[in-house]
Amino acid sequence: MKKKLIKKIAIANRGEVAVRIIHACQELEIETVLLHSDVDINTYAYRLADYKICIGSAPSAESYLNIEAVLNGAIASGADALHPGFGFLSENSEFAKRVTDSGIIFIGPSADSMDLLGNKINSKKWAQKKQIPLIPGYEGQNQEVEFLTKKVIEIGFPVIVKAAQGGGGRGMKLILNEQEAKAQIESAQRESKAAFGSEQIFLEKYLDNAKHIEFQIFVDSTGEVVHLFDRECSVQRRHQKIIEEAVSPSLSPELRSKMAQSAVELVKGSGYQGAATVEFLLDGQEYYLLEVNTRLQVEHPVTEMVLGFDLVKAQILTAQGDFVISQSELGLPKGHSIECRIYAENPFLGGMPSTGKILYQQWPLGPGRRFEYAYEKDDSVTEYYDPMIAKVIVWDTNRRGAIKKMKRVLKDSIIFGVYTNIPFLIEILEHPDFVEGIMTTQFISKYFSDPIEPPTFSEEETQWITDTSKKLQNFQISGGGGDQLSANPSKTIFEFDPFCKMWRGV
Amino acid sequence: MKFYFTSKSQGRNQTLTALKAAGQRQGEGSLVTWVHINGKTLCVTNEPERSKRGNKKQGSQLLSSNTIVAPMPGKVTKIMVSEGDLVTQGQTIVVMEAMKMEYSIKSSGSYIVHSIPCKLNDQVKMGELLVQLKEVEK
Repeated sequence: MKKKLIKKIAIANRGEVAVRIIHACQELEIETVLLHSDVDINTYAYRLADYKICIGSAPSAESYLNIEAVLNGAIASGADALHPGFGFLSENSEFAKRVTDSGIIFIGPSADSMDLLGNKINSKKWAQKKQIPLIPGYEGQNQEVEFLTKKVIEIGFPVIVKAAQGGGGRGMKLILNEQEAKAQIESAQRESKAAFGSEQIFLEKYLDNAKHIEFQIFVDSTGEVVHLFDRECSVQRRHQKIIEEAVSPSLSPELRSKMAQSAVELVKGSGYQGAATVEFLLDGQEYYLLEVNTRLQVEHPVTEMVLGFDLVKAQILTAQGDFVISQSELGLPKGHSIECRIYAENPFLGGMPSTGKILYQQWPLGPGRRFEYAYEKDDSVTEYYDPMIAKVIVWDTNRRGAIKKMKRVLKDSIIFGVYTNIPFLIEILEHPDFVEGIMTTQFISKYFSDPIEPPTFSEEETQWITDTSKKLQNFQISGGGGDQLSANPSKTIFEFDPFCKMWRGV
Repeated sequence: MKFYFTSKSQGRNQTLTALKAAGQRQGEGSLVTWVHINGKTLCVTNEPERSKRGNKKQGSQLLSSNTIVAPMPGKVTKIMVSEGDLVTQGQTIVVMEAMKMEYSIKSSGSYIVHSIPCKLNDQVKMGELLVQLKEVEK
């Protein structure tokens, strides 16, 4: 590849990943242009970017998923390169091709290698050739609901329906019995159409006692396929990851090296360049290929923490033709890292999305603590995008220490204005299965199917809250009515918010 | 929305952070207080007297189980019932989408669908009436 120095990067994304990319660019002294939707002027990334171009209105289909709009924005910005982040158009090969065709470097793989590895159906065929174990399923072209329902029965329950273009848990549905098959297939097609613009889905036998293990792969301009060890992301809800860690507590050195070899083998010969993740399901000592993500992952920081390697900078340097990594120089992972995704949702109502203005936010800084957030005080969390508002990442010398540190960090993290899943995360971190590292992808549905209990307060705490409430009473709101706070602050949102009673579950 | 007060007290290695602001439903004088104490967060919403007492009828209607209201802001992506339908407990009535996730709103018992004020693909606010149900006459 011809070497071309990148001076300005267009970012076709939002939220915390846009912030992450801007930080990498700042260190490399590259200018940034944020291609954003109109509502996203109230975000941290907007404030950090050197230049900003509004490419459309709030709904993703009219901005972040609109190829034409993003492309026009990128061209108008005069950027040499475009970073797609994750989600949105990051795995859309047509988009990658059109970016490249307009003379802008696409920071990621070529459209062809994206089609080969990123499309779940093609990647399975490719894996079959390379004799990498696959999960039984159906990935044909026939997309009629009746036909698919028959196939579901053939494969045997439980069966999972996935969007061919999908990722991030969208458009994924679990079918447990014949009765719900049709509805779940239709629902998956609908979500897939809304999120990825394609109705195509495929079916897979659902392994209900498996762990989610993935390998980070990186290919720089030399073409050497390097693996950056593994991550475990078994803590998932509705197929959306919640807690990730590196490295997995469940792999023996032999199994780790065997799986790493499979991951490297899969990417070899595909003409791939940049960051990729090969996801596996691990059932006992047997592993099966789940999918390949042809982009940066949300959970990339845990790999960065244990290896001391900056994946986003590596992506940018690779895109301009530099050599950044070799297996022999990489070294071994050190210590243990955990990431918790902070979602704007109400954990006491089973994770119902919570939107609104961030009134206050405070992160407890310290050694081995990393915070990646999308919003600052007074920014609005809207219903148009993913509920992930931040990621908290910790590193410690061992897993036990990392869990302890994460618990403390979460307890000291303050977010006012929207509800967050922090109380839920703390309960997960305290669960014996998680502590022992024996959780599977069923962990959440098995132990946390009901909403968690709201917090309780000791007498001393109640007294303290009451005293503070009294002090707060003196602060009048102009034009406002009732200023009285509860005399019994141990009462929670359940007693005060009429809407909680109307919630009828997911 | 206004930002009013943050108090921080230290005692026995404990911290309390509190904040009071105007509530999300603006123009109604609602207040919200957030408190963070020893790793726990508490949110107390104070509705003004007016809407508490003055419009009791509407309030009780909001809470009654034969009313389906939007539990969150978002888009109506599927209406699974039509007027006059009999719905049973656990049956999906409306499917909403917010933050890119689909949520099914289910019936809490057996009812007859009285009216459906919402339309497909409507962008609705939290608490907006979606479907009005009525009791099954015995």
